[in-house]
Amino acid sequence: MKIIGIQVYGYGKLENLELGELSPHLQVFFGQNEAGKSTLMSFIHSILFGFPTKQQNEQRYIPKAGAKYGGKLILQTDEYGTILIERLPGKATGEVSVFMPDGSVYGEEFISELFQGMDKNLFKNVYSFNIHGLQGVHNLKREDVGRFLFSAGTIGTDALLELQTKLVKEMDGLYKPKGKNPPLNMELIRLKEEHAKVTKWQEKNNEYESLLNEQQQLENELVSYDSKISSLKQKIQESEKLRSIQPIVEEYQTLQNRLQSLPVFEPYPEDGLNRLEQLQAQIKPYQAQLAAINGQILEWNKEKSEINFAKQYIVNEQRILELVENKNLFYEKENRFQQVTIELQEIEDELNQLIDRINFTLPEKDVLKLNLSITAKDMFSEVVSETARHRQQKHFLDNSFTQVKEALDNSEQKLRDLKQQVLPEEQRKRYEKKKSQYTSKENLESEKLLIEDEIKRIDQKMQRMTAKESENKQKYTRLFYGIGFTLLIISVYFYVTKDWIIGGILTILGALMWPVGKTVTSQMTSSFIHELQDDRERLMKKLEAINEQLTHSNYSDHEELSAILIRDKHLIQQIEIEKATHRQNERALDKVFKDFEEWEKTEYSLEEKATNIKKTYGLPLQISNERLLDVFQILEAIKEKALNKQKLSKAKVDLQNEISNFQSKIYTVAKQLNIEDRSSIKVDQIAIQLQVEKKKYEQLLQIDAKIKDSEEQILKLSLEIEHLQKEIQVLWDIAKVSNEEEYRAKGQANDTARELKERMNLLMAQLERFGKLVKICNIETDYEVLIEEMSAETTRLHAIEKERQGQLSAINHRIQELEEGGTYADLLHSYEASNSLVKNYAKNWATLSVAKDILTKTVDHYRTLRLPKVIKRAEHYFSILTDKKYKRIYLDNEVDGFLVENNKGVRYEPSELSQATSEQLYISLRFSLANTMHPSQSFPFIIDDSFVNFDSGRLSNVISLIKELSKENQVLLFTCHQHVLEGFGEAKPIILSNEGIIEYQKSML
Amino acid sequence: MDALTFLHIADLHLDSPFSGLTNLPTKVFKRVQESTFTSLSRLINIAIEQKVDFIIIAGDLFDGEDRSLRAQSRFRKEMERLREHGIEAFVTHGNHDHLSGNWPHFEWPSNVHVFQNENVEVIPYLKNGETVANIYGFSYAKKAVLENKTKFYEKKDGATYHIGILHGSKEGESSHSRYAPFLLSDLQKKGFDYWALGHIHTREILAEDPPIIYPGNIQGRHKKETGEKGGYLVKLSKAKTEYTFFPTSDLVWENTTIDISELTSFDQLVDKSLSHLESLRKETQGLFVTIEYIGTGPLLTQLQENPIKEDLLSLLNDDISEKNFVYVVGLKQNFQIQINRQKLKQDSHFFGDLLENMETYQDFDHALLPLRNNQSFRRHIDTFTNEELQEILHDAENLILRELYSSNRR
Repeated sequence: MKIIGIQVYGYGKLENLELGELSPHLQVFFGQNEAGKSTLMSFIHSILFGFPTKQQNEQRYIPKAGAKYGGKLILQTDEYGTILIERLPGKATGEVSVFMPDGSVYGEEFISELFQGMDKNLFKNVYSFNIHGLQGVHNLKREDVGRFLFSAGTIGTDALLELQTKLVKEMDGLYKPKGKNPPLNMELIRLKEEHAKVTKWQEKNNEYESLLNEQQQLENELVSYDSKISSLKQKIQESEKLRSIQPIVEEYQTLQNRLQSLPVFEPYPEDGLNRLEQLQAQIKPYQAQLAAINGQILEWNKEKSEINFAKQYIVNEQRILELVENKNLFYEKENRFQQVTIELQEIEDELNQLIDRINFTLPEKDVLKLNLSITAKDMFSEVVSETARHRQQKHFLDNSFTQVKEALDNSEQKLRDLKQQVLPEEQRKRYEKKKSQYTSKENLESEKLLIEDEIKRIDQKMQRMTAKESENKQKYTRLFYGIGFTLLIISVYFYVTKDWIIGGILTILGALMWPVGKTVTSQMTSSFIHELQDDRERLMKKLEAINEQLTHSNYSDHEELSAILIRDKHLIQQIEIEKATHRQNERALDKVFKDFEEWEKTEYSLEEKATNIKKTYGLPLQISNERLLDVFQILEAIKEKALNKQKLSKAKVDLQNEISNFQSKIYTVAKQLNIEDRSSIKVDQIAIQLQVEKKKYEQLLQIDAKIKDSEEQILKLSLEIEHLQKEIQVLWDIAKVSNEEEYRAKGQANDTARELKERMNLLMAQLERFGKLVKICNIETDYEVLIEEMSAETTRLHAIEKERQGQLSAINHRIQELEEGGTYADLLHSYEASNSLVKNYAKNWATLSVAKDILTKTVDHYRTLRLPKVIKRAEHYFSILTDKKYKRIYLDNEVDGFLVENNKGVRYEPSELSQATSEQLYISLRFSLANTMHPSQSFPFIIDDSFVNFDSGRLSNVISLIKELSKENQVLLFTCHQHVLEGFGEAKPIILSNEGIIEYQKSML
Repeated sequence: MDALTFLHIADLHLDSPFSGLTNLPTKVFKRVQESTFTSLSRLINIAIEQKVDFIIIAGDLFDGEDRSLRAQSRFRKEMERLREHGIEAFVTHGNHDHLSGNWPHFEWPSNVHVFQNENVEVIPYLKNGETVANIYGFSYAKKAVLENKTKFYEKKDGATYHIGILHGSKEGESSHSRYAPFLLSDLQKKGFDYWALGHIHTREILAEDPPIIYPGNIQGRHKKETGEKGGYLVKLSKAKTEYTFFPTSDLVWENTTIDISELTSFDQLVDKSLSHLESLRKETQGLFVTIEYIGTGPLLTQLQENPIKEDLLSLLNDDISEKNFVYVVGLKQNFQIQINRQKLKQDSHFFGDLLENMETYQDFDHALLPLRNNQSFRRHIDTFTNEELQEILHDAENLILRELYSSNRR
């Protein structure tokens, strides 16, 4: 295919560029730097294969200024004819449309078809040539040149070389078959180690069962040792015990022997000797006591006899005491007697006095019967008070009478007076009438005032109005005068001007003004004022009338009249009142009379009552009633005294009796006591004597009591002694002895025996604990030695046991370890992890290896099949380029490289060639590859200033080669060098410049 | 009251090591080691809390023939716990822990009933003297059981419920080799109330009536065992059947993708990756994540360089100290170079040849020979699976094309 037309809408700095009629063979583009060559090249690639995306690293040439982006290419193809490819911005690499000659439109897939499946990179690698590739030759190490060329000849770039190197490097970096350092190698070693560990542990796991068995065995052994040791221990214990009881047993036997050698010591009372001693000891004090008591009794008897005792006093004690008791009482009574007598006399006197006072007449015995109770008293006082009241009443009534009478007289008098003063009837009436007239006078007065006020007001108003009027009048007068005057003056003027007529008129008018004015003003008197005047006149008339009325009456009369009338009224009223009072007084008088009658009646009954009382109470009738209360009191006193008198008399008699009683008693007692002399009887003395005798009596009694006690005691003691002696006898009986000597002797033996037995019992008690052992205890045996032997054996067995235990715990530990299996699990997991890691590395390495393998295969294939063709062509090109200096190129069978043969038949490796020659070889191979890659299709070569460094000779060679190439493939060559451009001579260049793109060709679009 | 509650778990693979983890810090490593036990412990806790009647373990309790002592010891402890709460356990052994293995014999507590035979047996479950359920199952005598065992599961009368335990794979599943294969329809015809399956590590409910369930393993061990792992709590009653999944794993594996189309700098990549990882962080579990970078962007080429990948990896895993850490296990990209293969292949030039060779490449043995020659490698590393070889080839392709084709060279 060939690109024959380019249209750029916008790409980088290119805008609206149309390049048409490109040469289908060789088209040179010439432009300075910054003219847009690279842009155009990129454009071509972009239109064909897609705009570079954001993610890719290529430059996108998005226009800075305008909005347009994209463009078209016109291609001439063998298969499809002339087609148009347009690409516009869109998703990712843009929207492409391929316009076919028949009008159909295709898309991206068509391009892929068109370019035999190549994409941008591949296309560029093969069909684009720039200076970098060429320089790449320079940058290589000598030894790599060959391979580089090979790579270039295979895929156009050094990528193959690079990849091969990289693969190898990475593979070695991961793993070397015989290596130790690369990671995979190291990991493999580790894996092996871990596996070994795991296996080892697995073996250990297999031990598990045997370990279990061992464990069991050891446990059993331990059990048996244990029991052996226990039994030995037991035996040792036994022996120790036997050893300890050995001495005891010995002793016991000794004692037993002694016991048997004693004399008879049974029977014998328990604790015999002691008991004897005790009893004997007890008896002694008793005996002593006995003696003592007897002695005391004798003494007491003696004491008794010495007391001289008078019995009579004791016998009469009671009476004596009585006397003593009552003695004081007796004296008292005697005194009393005296007193009473005196009192009696006094009362007698008093009584008589009282009787005299009231002339009491009743006998004494009646006095006592008198009723002087409260009720009686009341009766008395009643009379008294009534009498008093009565009297009072009488006074009162008398007073009343006098009063009433007086009042009555008064009122009569008053009445008469009043009646005199009252006015006669008709006079009064007359006066009244007159009075009523005067009342209207006051009204008139007030009315008068009002009218006067009103008149004043009207006057004022009138004044104002007239003032105003006069003002107005004056105004108008002035006005008229004024007018008149003016007229006159004007007339004068007219006169002056000899306008006589007018002047005359005016004068007349002016003169007329005065009267006119006057009439007018006078008539101006407002009607209003007239009205006011009328009013005023009216009111004046009224006022006059009132005044007339007033003058007709007399003012001072009126007052007098009123007063008279008033006074008269008062009088009338008073008369009435007085009449009423008079009536009242008459009534009162009546009442007083009635009361008097009443009073008389009660006076009579009262008198009767009083007389009764006097009679009853033995009082003389002369006593005034008022004094009855006093009398009553005296009566009371009399009665009291009489009673007292009676009482005292009685008391006196009683006392007398008592006194004589007492005296007789005293005599009786004295007689008993053999006191003859009655005169000197003193009760006190007797009492004292009594005490003395009493004391003596007590003493005697005491002594008797003591004696009795002692006799009792003697009895007791004797019994005790007897009892004790019996006991002693009992002891002797028990011991089967008859006297004390024997008894004691036996006692001794018994004690000894006892001691022995005791000791033996103690020993027995100690031995009891050991039970059967005692029986088997042999005094002869040396237990010490036995114990030692057995201990030794125990120790030995212990040692063995410990050993076994150690073994057991070790085994337990291992079993536990295995069961926990931590280590094993760790190892297993670790091994597995290692395994994974190895696998990972292996996979990576495998990837590289496979890649390498594929490459190698492909390269081999290529080298065998395809490369020869490439070489053949390259040879031809090489020959051209080197001016036939080199004729042949061969494949190097050793390495991926070539051998060149010069015209002399000498072969060289690429490393031996000069740089220039290497370059030429490179170019040859590249061109050759590009040519042979697609035999059926030819694609345009795009060459970008690759030959800048060539000298003219070389350059011309290259140019001729290019020209030859262009016969089959379109060549688009971009350069900025004049000499290169000139080298291409005929070809019409397209010149790109900075200012704008100069069109040299019409577009065919 | 005739209801039955039990826990169904399988493929415990106790003490099984994780693969694909490299350079773990010690704390995480320890946790990894403990993870299967942790999950088991949690499951037993659930069994105790929920007061289940019994638990069923459908095979592969241990990871290999040589069961680690530790695994057995811990297992025994857990069974002891069940015994203290009066809970029974019914256990079958699968292909990984088959009966012919070489292991020290542990005595399980009295509440553990192991199916000792490759022939199908019945063990009754009694509650208050009554046979409430019949449990049917068998254990692998050797590494594999190739025949279909369903016909040996015969319903035996005398129990209210019938539960079958089967460690095997569905007939026709190509990705897993045939182990005691069964047809779903066959199982359903048996009239059992529940089928407790085992062997497949991805949990799956094959059917609901009756429930035929793979509970999956209890702890993911590599990047292919992603998501939550645990066991099923099943409640059977005459009225209805309930089964609830309880997640119990301490560590979880996840795969995630991050788009790099919009990123232009390495820092941005790190930031985006870190924040994306943060969004994945679990509450209490640790997370092992594999990141795949997708999309095309300026960083595309950078990311394909191994040193860059390593740097990025170490940056992302800078801080994994917390309980709920996020650890990036690996990075990958899946970039396709955009080329028109068809067209290129047609032409007879280097690229065409290259493409042709890449597509038809089979000569792995040759390429890997130096590695295979290494004794250690041969001994310990499994050969690459086909899948892996294809990945290698793909990576190699990308590498070549990137270098030769896409880069701008002179």
